[in-house]
Amino acid sequence: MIEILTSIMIYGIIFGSTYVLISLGYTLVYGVGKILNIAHGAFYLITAYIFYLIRDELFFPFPLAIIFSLIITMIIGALTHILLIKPMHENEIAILIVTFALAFFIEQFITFRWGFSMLYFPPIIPGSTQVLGVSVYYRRIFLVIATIIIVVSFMIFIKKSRIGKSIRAVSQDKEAAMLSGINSERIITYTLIISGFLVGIAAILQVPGTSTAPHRGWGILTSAFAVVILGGLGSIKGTVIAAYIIGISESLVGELWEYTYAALVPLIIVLIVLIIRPRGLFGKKEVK
Amino acid sequence: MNRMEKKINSKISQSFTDKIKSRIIGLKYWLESFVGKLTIISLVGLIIIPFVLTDSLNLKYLFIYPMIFAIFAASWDLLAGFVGNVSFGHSAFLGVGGYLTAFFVVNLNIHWMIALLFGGLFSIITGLLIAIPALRLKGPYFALGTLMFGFIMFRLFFMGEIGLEEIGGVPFISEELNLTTVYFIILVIMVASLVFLFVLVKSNFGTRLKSIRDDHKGAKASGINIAKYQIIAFAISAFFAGISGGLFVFFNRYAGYYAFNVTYSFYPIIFTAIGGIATISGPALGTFVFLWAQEILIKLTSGLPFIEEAGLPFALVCLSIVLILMVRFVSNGMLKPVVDNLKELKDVLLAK
Repeated sequence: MIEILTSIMIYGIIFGSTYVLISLGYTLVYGVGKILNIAHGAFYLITAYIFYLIRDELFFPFPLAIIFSLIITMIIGALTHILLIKPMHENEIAILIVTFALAFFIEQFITFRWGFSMLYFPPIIPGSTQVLGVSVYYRRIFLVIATIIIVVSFMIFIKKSRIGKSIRAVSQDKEAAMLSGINSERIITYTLIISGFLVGIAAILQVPGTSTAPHRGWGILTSAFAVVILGGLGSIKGTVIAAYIIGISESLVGELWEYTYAALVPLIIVLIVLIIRPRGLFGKKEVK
Repeated sequence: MNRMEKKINSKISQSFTDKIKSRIIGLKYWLESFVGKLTIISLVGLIIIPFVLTDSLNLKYLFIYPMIFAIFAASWDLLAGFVGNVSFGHSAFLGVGGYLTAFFVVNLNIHWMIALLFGGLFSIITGLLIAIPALRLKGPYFALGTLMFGFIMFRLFFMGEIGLEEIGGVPFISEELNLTTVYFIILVIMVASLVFLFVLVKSNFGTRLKSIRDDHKGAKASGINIAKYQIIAFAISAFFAGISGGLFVFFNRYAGYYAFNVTYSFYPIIFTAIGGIATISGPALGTFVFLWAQEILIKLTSGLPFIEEAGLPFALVCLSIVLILMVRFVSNGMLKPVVDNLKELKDVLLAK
């Protein structure tokens, strides 16, 4: 009994940590720019595949591969805002469709280059160890530690740094921020860059050691969406808590029942939340 | 008393005949207009095609396949263009309609027409189950909420013992019919669906839907039951998506997880982006344009030596670039500009 409980907790924390990394950037972009980025999952994919290209096809050392793939994803994030989202003039549906078109392009490009079937990514840190009697891969332990570091530094960045303060100002009132001399559009570009960075880190920490395929991007997008809906769109604290709630409930279903059913957990949670409390746990009440 | 009744009756019949007359006159004007002529020409072309095109593979992939998806795209446009609910979960209806049609035809041995209708009806039920929670959401949230539903339906296939099973050996409409007959059956279904949707959006009902799309509060203030109309529109859209799903499964002769594939939710968005939103005919045209361009690109690139992964992926890479540029620069689709330009060309040619 205690063994099952510990494994539920450990796997729950691991799943929750990946959800945090995936959805943090998503909620930031929504909270600041009111942009729902359909290409979020595609950013995840492109980072993973570029990492694979640099490390396993061009045989560069992995730190170089990490840096380059992250930089490319950040550039893609910035270009997405400057070239595609900004000219849409806050037409939400048009933004949805144009980012969808981008996601479709990235998915098809990856299919074209690497094929549509599963591709195995060799792990960065191989091996596994015992934590409280549960066998866990090293890479997953590293993932949890890295998530904690990233979340804490992200919070400090948002609270203390100059850009972070501007981001908060824009998220509170875009026009007032512009009046006090903040270039709001540029700040939104920064949030897309940060979002690309965070989801890229998630890809690099999570994908090596497993297999992935181009259509997985939509799954990543749905996970991010599930977390953000539960936590409340635009709430960073809500996102972190919701990520761990979903992670732990997924490992609960997985350990007690079967992991194939666990994939349905986030979807069902979202449905329940949408029916009972559409604004999520910590979301602001919608102003009508 | 009797005179009074007669008077009322004659009044009603008069207004009724007037209505019919005005409809006929309207139809006549529409036929004489440029768009009407174009429609008639393309319809005649679609009728002639199976006698001209002898290659059955081309007939299937260049005409039957786009016709099936034209219904699907038009059903999506009813929801997105006229109610303003951009659904990202339409694959759920395609899947439910398709899977149940296949189930009725293969396992219960029901006539294909009834099976198709049942598929559509169950698709409506799914639509209502989705609509009631999803309509609490607005705009982008609605899109993402429906996307989740699409994923849930897709996941049902990977549930192990309690999941759905694949159905093989589905006949293409019916084993006794040859391909030309099947072509005409699908053509009739497509034309009927498009005409129905077209008349629907031009009617008072369509006007009410548009008022909901443009201004929720205004529509409510003028006494329109927003929730009711949205749900009815959702059900109609789901019905036609289910019908196209049934035809799609007939086309593939097999019903499996692929019919629920979430990618199909994005097809109508692509087709509508090409053809133009809120037109019904635009998405149908966009379907043909996109699928033909895809086939042509596949044919062109399959012989080239310097492209390794030729065929579908390369075609889709090219088309997705075109799609991004289109959404970015021609946000109203290409139907209207193309028709306008064609009309100008015709005017110039005839003026000489």
